[in-house]
Amino acid sequence: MKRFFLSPAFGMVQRLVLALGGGYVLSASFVMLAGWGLAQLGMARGEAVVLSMMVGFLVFLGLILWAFAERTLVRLWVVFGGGSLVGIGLVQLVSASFAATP
Amino acid sequence: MAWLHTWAGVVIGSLLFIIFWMGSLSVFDREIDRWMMPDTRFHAPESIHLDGLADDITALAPGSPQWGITLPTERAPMGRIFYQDTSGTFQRKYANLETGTFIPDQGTRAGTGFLYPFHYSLHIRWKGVGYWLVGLAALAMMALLVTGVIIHSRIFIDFFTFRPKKKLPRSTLDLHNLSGVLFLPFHFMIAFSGLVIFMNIYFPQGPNLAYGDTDVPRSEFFADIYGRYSRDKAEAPGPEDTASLDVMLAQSEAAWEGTPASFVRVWHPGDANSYFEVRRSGARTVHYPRQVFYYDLASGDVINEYSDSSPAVHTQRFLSGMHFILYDHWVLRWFYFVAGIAGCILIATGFVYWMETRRKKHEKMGLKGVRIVHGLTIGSVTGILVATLAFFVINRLLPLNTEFLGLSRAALEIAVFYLVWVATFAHAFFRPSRAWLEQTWVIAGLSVLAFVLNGLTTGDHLFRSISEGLWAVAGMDLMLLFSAVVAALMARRLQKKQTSEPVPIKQAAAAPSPAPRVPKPEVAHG
Repeated sequence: MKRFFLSPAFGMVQRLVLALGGGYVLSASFVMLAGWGLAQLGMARGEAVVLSMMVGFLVFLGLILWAFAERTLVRLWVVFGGGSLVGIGLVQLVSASFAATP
Repeated sequence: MAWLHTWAGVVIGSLLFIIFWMGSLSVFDREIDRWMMPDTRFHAPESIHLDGLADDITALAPGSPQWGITLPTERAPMGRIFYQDTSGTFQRKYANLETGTFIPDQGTRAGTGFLYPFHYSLHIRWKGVGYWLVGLAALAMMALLVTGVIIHSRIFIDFFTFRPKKKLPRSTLDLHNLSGVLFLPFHFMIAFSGLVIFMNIYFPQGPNLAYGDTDVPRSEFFADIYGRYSRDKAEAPGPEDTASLDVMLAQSEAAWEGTPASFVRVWHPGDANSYFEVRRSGARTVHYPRQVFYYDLASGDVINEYSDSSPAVHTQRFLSGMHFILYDHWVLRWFYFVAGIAGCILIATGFVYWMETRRKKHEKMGLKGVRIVHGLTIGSVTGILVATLAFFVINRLLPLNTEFLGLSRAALEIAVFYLVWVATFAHAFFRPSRAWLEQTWVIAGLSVLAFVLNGLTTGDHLFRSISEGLWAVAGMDLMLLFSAVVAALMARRLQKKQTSEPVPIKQAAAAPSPAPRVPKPEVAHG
């Protein structure tokens, strides 16, 4: 059992799941928050969302490349796992502000 | 980073090859349509008259809540009419707008209806899985291009190196590097713009915060970036004499500095609130426009207009247009096709290189996977070419209105495509050592067959299609001949190789024979 968890194959699986799953959650949070943020800064909101979506793909690409360049798995877990939680938290926080001010 | 390049390349290789192959064909989808739909091989009318047509369509589709026409172009010379029948189902009909006659159903989905959707959806409709797989492949393509460049610190030396006479892995790798470097910017652009086109599928939650104060963020967002307009029925009959559709069309085209319209639609025909929609075509701009005029049908006044002029939306449309290549530019169209085929070569050679370098090692270890990968590779590289050609051949063999086992003619063509494709996988699995060679010969044979059948069944043989200026048909026939020649040359080379170094997979597992040498890690692909 211990051998399995330390095997390169399992490391590869973690890397893939973190890169694709975590990377997607992070970039989707980025798209939502950047779209909202730019709109707050005065950009037309349709424009802000389209721009964030296009940049979002490049953010995702960058995250995937980094996930395979980074040697230590722990750092990946911190950035992708922790980052996803922070991203989701921020999105919830902003959505809650709409509910509070109808 | 080298191991990501190799492994991701294999997992995603067959997917990418299929997408690139179908995408390359889609560059000429309308030309393939002309070849597969003989009754639509004519020249587009110089001018069209919508007013006369409107009555015919209203008679054809009484009570239809809307009807529209995709207007003829040089590449698709017929009008494509759609309307809703009494049960509300959408019906489509092709018509020659010059003679005002309907064209009988051609019984095929052809290029625009089958090959093109294959490119972006793989025809997997279930929960949109097809779109996501294609998106994943596009992302992987970009990652592979970047990691591929990082591996190649010697990128510019390799660029000038092509050693076709060397052993297979070396020349395969040369071809991989050559096609990869030469078309790198194009391949990166095409993968990225492919994602950008479907941004609303890949980031459906995108507008949720920016439009968080609206009830349905998504539809508000769409209204902003696509300019949705609609007007309800008045439920009262409209005037007898409505404004002229032709005048409104000409007005719109004048407003677009002579750029033709691509599509017109009448909403609520016969109602007092009936209105007319005209959309600008992308024939003269790289950017794929979203520019629309809405006219009140009773008065002929503009009641709404939309133009995608804001910078970010315009950029998104520009990237989309670069991918769609709907603008008229034959030189660039051919460049797209060549670059697409180069992408196929890049992917296939990367795939073959991986197999050749690992085969010996894996056979020593007695792994069974190598044979499955071998079968998958052949089936998804030469196999899909064979299936595509079978699709063309069966199209020229089935008479119009054929039905079999409850399948329409169009469905039968598609069934043949899939059956042949499955057969190529089986063939590759059961005859691993001969499959490349044999399928390459089949490609050559089917190409010639399709070429001959077109001449025999339609009479538009090469001399006639060229003398009558039917360039779509002539081009398709010439490409078929070209692919037959290339496939025959490839097959002859493979044959020589196989007689000089026989390494059938099955025997090799039992008695290791000299497999192709793996190059030293000067290029760290391994």
